[in-house]
Amino acid sequence: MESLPERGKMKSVFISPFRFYLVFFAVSITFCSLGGRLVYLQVFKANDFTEFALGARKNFLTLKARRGDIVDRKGNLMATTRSVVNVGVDPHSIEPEDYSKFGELAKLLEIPIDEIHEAVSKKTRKGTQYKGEIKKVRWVKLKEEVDERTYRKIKSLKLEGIYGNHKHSRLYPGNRLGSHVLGFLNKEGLATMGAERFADYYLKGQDGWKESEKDGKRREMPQHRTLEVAPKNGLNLELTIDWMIQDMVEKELARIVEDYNPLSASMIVSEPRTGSILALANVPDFDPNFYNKSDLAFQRNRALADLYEPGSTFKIVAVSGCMNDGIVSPDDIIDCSVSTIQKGSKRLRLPGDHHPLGKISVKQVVQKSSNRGAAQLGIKLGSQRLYDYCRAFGFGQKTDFGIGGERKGILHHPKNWDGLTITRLPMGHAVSATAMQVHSAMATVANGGVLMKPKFINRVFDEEGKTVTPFNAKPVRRVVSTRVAESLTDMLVSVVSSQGTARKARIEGFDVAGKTGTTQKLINGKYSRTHHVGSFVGFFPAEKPIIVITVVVDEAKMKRGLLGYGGTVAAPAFQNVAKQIISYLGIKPKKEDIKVASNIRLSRQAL
Amino acid sequence: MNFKTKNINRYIFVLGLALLLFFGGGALSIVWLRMEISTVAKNCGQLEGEMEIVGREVNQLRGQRSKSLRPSSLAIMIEGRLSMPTAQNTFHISNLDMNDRVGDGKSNIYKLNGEFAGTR
Repeated sequence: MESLPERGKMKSVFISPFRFYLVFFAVSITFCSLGGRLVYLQVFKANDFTEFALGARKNFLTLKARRGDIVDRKGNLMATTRSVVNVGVDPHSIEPEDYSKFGELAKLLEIPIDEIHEAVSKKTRKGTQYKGEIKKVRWVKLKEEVDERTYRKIKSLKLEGIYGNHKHSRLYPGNRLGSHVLGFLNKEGLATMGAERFADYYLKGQDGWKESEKDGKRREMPQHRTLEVAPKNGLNLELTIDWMIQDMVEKELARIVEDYNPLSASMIVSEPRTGSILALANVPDFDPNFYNKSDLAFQRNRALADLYEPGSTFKIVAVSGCMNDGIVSPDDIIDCSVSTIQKGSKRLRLPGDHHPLGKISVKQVVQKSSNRGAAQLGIKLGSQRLYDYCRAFGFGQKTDFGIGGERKGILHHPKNWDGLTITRLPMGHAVSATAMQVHSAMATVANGGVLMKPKFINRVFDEEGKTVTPFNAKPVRRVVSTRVAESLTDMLVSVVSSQGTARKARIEGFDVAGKTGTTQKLINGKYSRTHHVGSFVGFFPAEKPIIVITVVVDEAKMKRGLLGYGGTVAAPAFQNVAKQIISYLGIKPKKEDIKVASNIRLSRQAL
Repeated sequence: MNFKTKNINRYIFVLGLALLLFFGGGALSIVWLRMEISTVAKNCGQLEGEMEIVGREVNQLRGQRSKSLRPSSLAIMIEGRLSMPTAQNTFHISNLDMNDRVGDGKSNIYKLNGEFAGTR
């Protein structure tokens, strides 16, 4: 027999079947629902949620490679990459107390305060997924390309909603200096012209990337970094440009603009032995830092893209051709008093000279820049040979300088010549050339008759300064013999003498060889008497040429109705720049003028 | 319970405790290691960020330095005081002259005594 309390205990653990099943089913349903939900989430919706979670957590960052620098031949920085910040605002993170700091922020960003208020008020925008969708605005741009220093000041204001995205921006420290050689990067970071474009492959580098996770505040959690590929910064470029000489040239061009207000002007300075361009400048020019604010035409590299009739500077082709083929020698006499000449069955009309020259030597043809003499030399040489020499000197073809926009000029084949071309081409008419082509032709004479490929890049080097790709001097072809080049040099020295047309290019203590050129421009199909292109191409020291300079001035506006002759507008510019280069490079004058310490009795104390 | 069984139980207990300590300690060590790795990674990330900032500033300064060293800026600084020597003011001294007068560089006669002597 069980005791009473024990019976009571039995009674208390007894559960009615109804209650039991009620609780059982309730619990089962609850667990089944939870299980079902879990299956729904983990099986049916698994992919969606995994993607969502990964998207919220994963952080894929592109590590931008830094574009390489461009330096001049002495290592001066001409183009570099700096970091700038695009500053913006998250309107939802702005606290009421932040409004009081907007004045200071506006001052730092150099924008009106209203712009900040307007940006902060843009809290929502229309979505595109469905009609009536409203999305939160989390970023409104306030200013682009804010420098690091200003951004630091902005951060010190402690405005949580104001933040920036760093990006690389190209800086050209010299501003306008060498703008046509350097080129620029556009807003999308694409190299559009100049060295930037030519060497883009070397300069741009290779972007890297990293994959990691981010926290709730979208900050990277480095401990969860899974993959990382470091960026490979771009290589650096060393130009042949010397920015001191470039500065001298640009200052001289500025003076030409001030004095003559020409349509345009170009100057090229190079070393004849290597073809290295030490300076190349044009006016009008532009500031590559603000390329979008300049006229598109100002960005054109006129020394390579603008064609003009070279005029008398072209006479070196016919003269050297004739001498190289042994047709004439410097002392042979040419009768410049005749106005026509018989060639086969045709009587050719010769161009006129400014002054009657009578019978003069070939040397004087060059010295006095006789059109009639040059025409006769052209006739003696013959159409095909004249054309061959024009081609050999580089006319009618690109110099392959590398900087974009170069034109090959116009040089017709003899089969397309009219009856006058043989008399007009030797004096630089019926041909169109770029300043660079004329410069290369003269550099050929200075280089003993060998045409060099003009180059503007010395080398590509890495961060440690080690050369990765050298750009060596490239001879293109021998055009005339060394003997002919030397004879022609002697003739060109006489041009820059008191008897020649380029008296204003003379430099005391140096023999300068050069040739002036003045061409009438074709206006409405006729040669204008008031529109001229004046040019001068010369080199020095004549006995051992170190520097070749070309000056081209298009439509100089002269005072008192004077004409913009090459000897008047271009030769003085040559002289000014040449004098500065002589001082800068320490080029020795002619032997008899060299001031050496032994000749001026310097004592030890004086030293 | 005899003595032998008691001993076995003790061994099992000790072994269990040792295993617990080993695995527990190991687990805790792994957690600790992970925390340390996280801290180091975080510090590295921070340093990377700082290095990036310094790098950016260096580039900024290089640009600024170059801007102030451009020929026109330098010319303004020395305007009216210094100018490029002309060819007439330039004296070319031959190596022979140099050796004759200055010697092989060991002589003290031509030593510079100015403020900046020997600084370059």
